[in-house]
Amino acid sequence: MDINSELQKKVYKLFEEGTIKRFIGYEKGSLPYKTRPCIITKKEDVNRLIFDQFCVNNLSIYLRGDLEKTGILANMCTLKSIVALLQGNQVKPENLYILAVNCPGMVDPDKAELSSLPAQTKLMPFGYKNLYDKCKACHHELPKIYQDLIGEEISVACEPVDEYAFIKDMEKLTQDERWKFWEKQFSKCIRCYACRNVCPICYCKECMVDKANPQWVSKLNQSSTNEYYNLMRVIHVMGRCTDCGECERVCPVKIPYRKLIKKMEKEIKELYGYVPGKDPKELPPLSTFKEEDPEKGIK
Amino acid sequence: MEKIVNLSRLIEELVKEYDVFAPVGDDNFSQFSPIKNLGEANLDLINTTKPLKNLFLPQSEKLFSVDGAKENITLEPKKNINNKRIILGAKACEVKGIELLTKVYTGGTLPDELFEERRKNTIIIGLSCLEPRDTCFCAALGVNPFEEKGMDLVLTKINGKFVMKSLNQKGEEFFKKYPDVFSEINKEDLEKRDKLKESVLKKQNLSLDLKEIKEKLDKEVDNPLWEEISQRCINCGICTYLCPTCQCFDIHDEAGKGQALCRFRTWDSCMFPDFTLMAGGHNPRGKKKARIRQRFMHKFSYFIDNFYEPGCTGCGRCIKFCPVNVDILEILKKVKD
Repeated sequence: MDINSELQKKVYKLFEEGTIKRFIGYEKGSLPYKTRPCIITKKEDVNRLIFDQFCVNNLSIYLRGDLEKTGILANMCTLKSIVALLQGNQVKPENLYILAVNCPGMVDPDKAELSSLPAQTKLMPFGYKNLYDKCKACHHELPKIYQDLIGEEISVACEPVDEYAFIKDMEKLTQDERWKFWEKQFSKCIRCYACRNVCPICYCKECMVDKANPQWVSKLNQSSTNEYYNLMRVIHVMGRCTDCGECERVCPVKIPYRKLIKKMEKEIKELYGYVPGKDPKELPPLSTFKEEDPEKGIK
Repeated sequence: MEKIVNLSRLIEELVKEYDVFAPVGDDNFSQFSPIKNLGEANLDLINTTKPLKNLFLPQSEKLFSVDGAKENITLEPKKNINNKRIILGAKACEVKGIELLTKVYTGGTLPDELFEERRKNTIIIGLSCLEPRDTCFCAALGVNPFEEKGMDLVLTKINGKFVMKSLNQKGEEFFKKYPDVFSEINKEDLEKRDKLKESVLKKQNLSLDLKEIKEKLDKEVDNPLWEEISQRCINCGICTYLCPTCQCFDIHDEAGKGQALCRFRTWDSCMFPDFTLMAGGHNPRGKKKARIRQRFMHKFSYFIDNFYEPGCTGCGRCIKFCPVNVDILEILKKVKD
């Protein structure tokens, strides 16, 4: 059975049995290489649901707020973010039905030859080289928080790449050189806040940049405030960010956020031996205090 | 008049007298930036990431400052906005965007001085678009890749050579002023250009007909479509901030410690919840559905009310960059049907 029929049948059954009232999944987008999130509330609509290698959006952002019984199709990144949401008490597990999918990794349309894309794409038609960088480093170990699983088990053709390799060049630079690099990157920022709005971990009810009275961050697009906004946001998700890479993907001016995010992830791993997005019962190290916590960096 | 131009030498001449701006960057990120020579420009880009709008309506700009620290309070308006400048390599959809913004900012009884001065000081050397993207739909907006309206001169790249054509008196003067950089064009090149034009125009997306779009949209205020789109929209500002015609701004007063108080205007987006938030706490467009609908209504209904044409150029940036595939072309087609 192909993955779309499997998905549609399972979701149909969930609606019929009354297990869920809503389902969050993907549907075909308006271009061959685009899919988009879709939220269905009727079993008759299940034929809209699809899963292919362009289902890159992290659907966990649609779990915010009070949920009715909700089902969600969770690829690897969505699943890891749900772990983080459960840790932060942002979603009630009793209202959640997670249908996980063995995620083959997602295709980066910027890397794939768009002109040669088939109109109806099938799973895994694309080579490893066309995957998003985050997918190339994926270990395909789904956190065991799901109720059901679809899709064939993934046999990884290539060994996952060293996920921190791409930040090693940055680490070699001096502080001044790094600052120059980021100054240039943040100067491109247009403050559209797509990185924040697409981030599953950015669930603050009111973001510091929206605080108007008194104003916390200037609304002006100028280097100092762009740097402040971007660095604050990234630091705020430190230790909880599961590297779904959505901030980098959606950024219209291509600020390489993952260079910051992976660096922080690495620091947290080295300091506390903690990797986010694995176990909802664990608590992120920056949200807890233990006497044996390392004090490196505290002056 | 039209001639073959040695672009590299022309730019060398122009920078002596003008600030020259051109598309700079690569497929990852590009914008119109100041250049000193042809090597800095990238004229092969289909469309820059940031629109030409930024050069006429910067994201943030100072309107005036008040210095209370001095003995007398002084009010200093912003002066000398621009030197004379040339924008080189703007595509038809970009120039159309500036045309539409000009209507908004200088069309009424109180023209915006900053915008007006920038427009007045700018000479536009357009560039024929040879490769429409799969997200482009300029044909529906009365633009085409070879459209020349709003430009003073236009360049077309044929076999690595640039043909330059003047479109008005300002353009004509270029040929007199810099005779050394031009050479005569032969019949063969002209034929090649016509053929090129024909083949590019064939690639245009003609699938959208905007006839009576306003009347149809006005009737669809309660269409469930808006609710459906709003479910997936993340309410970021990409579509409005990268739009060549979105023109809304907010006014802010800011002062650093010990500095003069400055009044700024800075872009704002109707996608943001606080765009319509009133001082008393009321928000007429508090719901996402209302904000989504507003973007379409402003461009294809209210803009037509005010300026007799839609406020869109078909550049397709909002389609290309939307994180959740809200596709203006698809939605307008749905409304039409």
